[in-house]
Amino acid sequence: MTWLSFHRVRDLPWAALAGAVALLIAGVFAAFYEEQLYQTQRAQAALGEAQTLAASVSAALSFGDRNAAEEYVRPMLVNPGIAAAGIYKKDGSLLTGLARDGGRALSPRLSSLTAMTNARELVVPVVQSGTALGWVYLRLSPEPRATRLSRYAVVVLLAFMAIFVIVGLGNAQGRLARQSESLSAANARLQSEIAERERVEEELRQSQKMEALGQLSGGIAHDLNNHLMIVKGNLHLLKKKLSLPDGDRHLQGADEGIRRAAALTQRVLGFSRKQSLSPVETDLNELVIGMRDLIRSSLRENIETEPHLDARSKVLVDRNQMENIILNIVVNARDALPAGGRVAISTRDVTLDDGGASRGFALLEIADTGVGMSPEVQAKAFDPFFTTKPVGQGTGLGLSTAYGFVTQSGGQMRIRSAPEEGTTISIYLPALVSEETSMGDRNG
Amino acid sequence: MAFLGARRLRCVFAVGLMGLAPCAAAAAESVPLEDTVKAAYIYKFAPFVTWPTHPAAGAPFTICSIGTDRVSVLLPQVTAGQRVDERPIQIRALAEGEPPADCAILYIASSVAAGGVLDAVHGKPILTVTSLEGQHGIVQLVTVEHHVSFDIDAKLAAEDGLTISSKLLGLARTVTRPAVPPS
Repeated sequence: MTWLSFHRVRDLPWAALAGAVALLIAGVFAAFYEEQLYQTQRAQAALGEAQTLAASVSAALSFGDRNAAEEYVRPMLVNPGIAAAGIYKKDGSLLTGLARDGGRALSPRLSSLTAMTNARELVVPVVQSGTALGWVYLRLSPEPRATRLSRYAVVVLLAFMAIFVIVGLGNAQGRLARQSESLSAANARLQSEIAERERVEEELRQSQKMEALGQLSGGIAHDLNNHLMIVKGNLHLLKKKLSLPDGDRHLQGADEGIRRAAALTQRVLGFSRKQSLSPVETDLNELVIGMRDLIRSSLRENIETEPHLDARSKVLVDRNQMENIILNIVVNARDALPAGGRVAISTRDVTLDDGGASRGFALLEIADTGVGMSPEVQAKAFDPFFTTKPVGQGTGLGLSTAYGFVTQSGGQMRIRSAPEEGTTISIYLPALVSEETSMGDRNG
Repeated sequence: MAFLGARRLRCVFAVGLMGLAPCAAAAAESVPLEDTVKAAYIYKFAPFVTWPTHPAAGAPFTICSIGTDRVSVLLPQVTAGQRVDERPIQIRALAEGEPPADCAILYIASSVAAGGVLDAVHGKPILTVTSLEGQHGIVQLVTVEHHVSFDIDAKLAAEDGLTISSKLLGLARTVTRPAVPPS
């Protein structure tokens, strides 16, 4: 198959190649069978002619009439398949015979006085009424090569056509398969890029929403706080000047209301990233270990907790706020585990792509095996005042405050959750690159 | 293949004797070759003739001769070792007036007046062969220009219940056909 380049053969599917080979073999067998069939038919036809000659020449042979015998022999040579025909007497000597021009002359004596048939010559006995009279000998013409080739030509042509078709189809299929593979790969890449883009867009939308909500609520809370301070100051002045019966009690009630309102504004400010923070170098592992008793007391007995604290980096955060946030998330996890379960708290160092540059983060993860969140709930989880808890049990400010705090601390906060598959809250805080840590990294 | 209609036999004596080489050389010196060929022809007619009765298995093929001439004398020699339908050939010389029982072929030598013998066997399935001009057996051996040939009276043969192969008729010089061809 020299017309096929190595590359094409290599790319040809095995099935197609095997089919082509099988067809070729079948073609060879068909040609071989055809040849056998042809030779058999040719021999049978010659045998028929020899028997006819034997039957008709018997009297001429018996009475040694050479001329009469020759008249029976001559028409045999009309058949181009017969090269020579001879009439031999009972003792094997030649009575008469004719050979085609240019052909080998007849032997004056038969070599063997037995009937025989092969592809080249045959001998049949001349028998009249059970009496053996002599022999008829026929020599068959060798078949011209062109005739023989023309017989094979159709089979060979068909086989080659079939092989060409198979090879062509195989190649086309191979090319299609390769194109399909590259298309699939391109499609997968596209899908992944689309998903990534959607995720980024979603994050951007969320971030813009938070930004807007933060600005709005922060502004209101700030002003409201100022007004509350004015109200509080004036109440204190009024308290000194007035001495009304039960006045203290009313003033105390009003004071309490102002305190609660002020606390609320602080939390809103926390979400709007406008709270005043006191960040200090903090080891998250130590922080979690320090909160161990607090966490344990926040959880019920049927909830296990297992810390995996592997972070080595330190972070710069407001410890009190950080503790509040951890506690808040742990309480959320507890509420998601009405029938008990496990809350895993872990820390580790990770590297994130932060605006095109790799940057080290300490990751704090709090994972529960609870009821999880639907995608809709998850999308709103960081919104202020959004809660799935019954009225009066949740303010809807826990996660939003945490979000504001983490963002204000230069970190990121993510939620991974699915219904009945639990929730994982991830807090990424920028790793503090202190001199000591850097040296440790170099030494490590 | 076309049937040979030519009623002639142009075989030369030597050719007719190809199968009789051993005796031919000896005979050639003492007897004319013509008589040897005629003697050989007599048993060679046998495969081309069909008799109405089938001989018993293994029984010899009997050729009888009546009277004496050079041909009848040569008969035992030329038929020695030959077989007809796998049956050995038996030559029996009949005395004048002896019934030709079991004879398939009866050669009537030139020394005998053929008419009486032919009348006696008429109607019997016996192939009569004569060699003297004008004797009119079923087969009449003739010599034409140094070639041995024969005439066949197929009509007479049919009357005697014999069937003669058309292949043999094709070689005969003349054939007397029956008025109504046997079906």
